[in-house]
Amino acid sequence: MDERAYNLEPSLRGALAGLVGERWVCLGFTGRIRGDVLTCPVEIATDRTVIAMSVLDNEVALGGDDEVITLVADVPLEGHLEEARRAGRIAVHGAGEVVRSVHLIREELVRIRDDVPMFRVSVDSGVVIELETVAIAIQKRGFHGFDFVLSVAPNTEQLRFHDSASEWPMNLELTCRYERVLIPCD
Amino acid sequence: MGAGRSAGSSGGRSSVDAALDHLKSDYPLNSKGYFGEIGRSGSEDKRQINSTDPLATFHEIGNALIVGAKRDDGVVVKNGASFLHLDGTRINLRQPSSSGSPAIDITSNNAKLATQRIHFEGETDG
Repeated sequence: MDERAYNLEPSLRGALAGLVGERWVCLGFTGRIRGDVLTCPVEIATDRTVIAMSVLDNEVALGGDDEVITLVADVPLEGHLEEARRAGRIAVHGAGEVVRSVHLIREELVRIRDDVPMFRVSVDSGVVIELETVAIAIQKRGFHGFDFVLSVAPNTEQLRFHDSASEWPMNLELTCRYERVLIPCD
Repeated sequence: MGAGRSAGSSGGRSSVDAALDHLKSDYPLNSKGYFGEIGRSGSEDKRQINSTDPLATFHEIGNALIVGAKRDDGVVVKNGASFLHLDGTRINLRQPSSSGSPAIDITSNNAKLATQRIHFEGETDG
């Protein structure tokens, strides 16, 4: 079985882990906002750190076809946050609160044909940031997506995640097994 | 499975709806929101459209699908470009894709249109 794992680069994972204990400022959206869909990049800002996350193209051969399995990565800041603030494209939920925890969103899908696994793909698709009274999820819009989806809730349990399995159609021959887990970022 | 959520535009017909209307006589969607035929892999979201001039067909459908969308240079698509409609539907045009043929990737936020990848191939003699 073909297996692919696309984990966050250690530098980004380390930067996200370093947010714990810092004071939350905002999310900055430098692209466009279409409902809960955010175009890239998205900037995560605390009182000491700013991280810009984007989605990168990635064409791969999987299961006898070419797929696009996009990747989350950090990108240079280039002053986008100031631009987002000027344009009012920011989310300030929980501003001033301390970052309590950071989790990676890891999604895994096994594509199955006639009960035989064809390929397994695992992707770190975003991050959950837990503040004192607010939880924020920034998740890539599916395995193929080039945008992020934002969810904000009073706690992690109430966050609404994008249904990334829905983009893999199933029939009598082809099915899939999907799992999403949150992994402590440390 | 695969069709997106309903259009997020503020009432009326979205630009994606208009594009689908424009294409429906020559390139109709099936009942699940897919163009063309199922591709070689057998996965419903991997589509194939065969024609005598695949590049022309790619341009015809691609150009129609991006009417009303804005080019998004914040997304880097290998050998191509990305366009975003007001309802959040994203259209990526590639010429060529990694398999060598032109391809259109659709991430749909429109209820009529499924998320899919379309390859444009030459017609083979039967």
